[in-house]
Amino acid sequence: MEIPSELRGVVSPEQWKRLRINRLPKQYKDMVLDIVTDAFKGEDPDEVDPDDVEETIELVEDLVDDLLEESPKLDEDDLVAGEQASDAILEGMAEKK
Amino acid sequence: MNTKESKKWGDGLVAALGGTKTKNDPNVEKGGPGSGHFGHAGRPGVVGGSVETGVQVGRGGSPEAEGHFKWAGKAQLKRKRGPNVNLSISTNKRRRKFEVHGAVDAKGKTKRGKAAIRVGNDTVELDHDELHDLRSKMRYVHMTNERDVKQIAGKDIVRGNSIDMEVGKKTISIPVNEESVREIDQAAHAAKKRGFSFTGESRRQIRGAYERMARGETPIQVVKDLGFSKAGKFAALRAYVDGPGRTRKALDKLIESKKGLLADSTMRALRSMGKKFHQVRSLAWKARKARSGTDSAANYLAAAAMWHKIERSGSRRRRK
Repeated sequence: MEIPSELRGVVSPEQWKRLRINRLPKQYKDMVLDIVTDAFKGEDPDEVDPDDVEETIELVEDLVDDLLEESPKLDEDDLVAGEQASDAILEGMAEKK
Repeated sequence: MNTKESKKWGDGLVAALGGTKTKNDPNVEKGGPGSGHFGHAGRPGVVGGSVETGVQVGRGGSPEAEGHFKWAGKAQLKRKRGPNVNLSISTNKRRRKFEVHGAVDAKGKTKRGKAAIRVGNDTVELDHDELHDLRSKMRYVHMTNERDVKQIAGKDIVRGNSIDMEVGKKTISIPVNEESVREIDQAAHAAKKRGFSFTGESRRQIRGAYERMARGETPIQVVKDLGFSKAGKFAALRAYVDGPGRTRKALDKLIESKKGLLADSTMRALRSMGKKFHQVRSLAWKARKARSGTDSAANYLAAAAMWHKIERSGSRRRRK
């Protein structure tokens, strides 16, 4: 995937490659793309601080790392079991509060 | 609970355990569907029908006379396969942790239609009927405690009755208290609706995973490290995402608290992530309503990842 035109000059091709947006499942791809675009919206390539860009890229890279983990494929029984277990925990936390 | 209701509970158990009327229980009624008694005599082919008749039930003396409350009785749950389960109800002050969850096989996979009851290090597996039967007895013993505490208030009352459950050579002593009765109620309710579907992890394990996440460990890594079942992963991630304090206001406050610590572009990324968190979480809720487990899990995973990044960003290094 090419660097979007509005990010050219702000994000380097190496940094863009590190984000691995192409490897994300469809539902996450647009989401991450939006986050990166929002982050660098209106940045002037001539005035941008490379350290700031790197900090932001690291944050998004971290997020992508997590999103690349395979999410569990649950059938309805698993869902009910998971809901039931988390309901009990959430109730307990609410009572404690 | 009023005295009239309590009396019904008592009558129900005597019928459930196949006992005879005593002078303390003059109006024993038979339990059964629609009777309002949990401790019923059994419905043929349905829950509770496995209680063997003719088992002994007795009281260890009048509470008024002795100044304390004692309860003793024996019953047996007949199993279709495997050894029968012998139950005895006795006075026991021990209140060890009681848990009901899905029974798991050697590979850690949840066995369908089986629940595991764990007290301390001891575990007993029960099937659907047995769970319901145990539930009726636990509820009865619990209510009996409540009733007698009220009736002879001011005297030296021993509380904390337990049910000893014997399967083959193994006996576990199940504490009967608010917590254990509530837990077995939930388990029996789920069993009735879904034919037993629990996660392979205990509530304590899932709670432990949640606490590690709350302390700052990466949610996805935590559930991965612990080798949770799919349902267990879902439960832990959901508890983290839907837990207390996960409000729009709290998230905005959290993001704005990083101002000055992070670059402007990182702050914009966090604000964008904050919006996405709410969107993704509402997708997870919708998927749950539509009973789509996979979609819901994927969205909870994304929401957990985002909340974690927002919470932890800027904590490792401060800007010059």
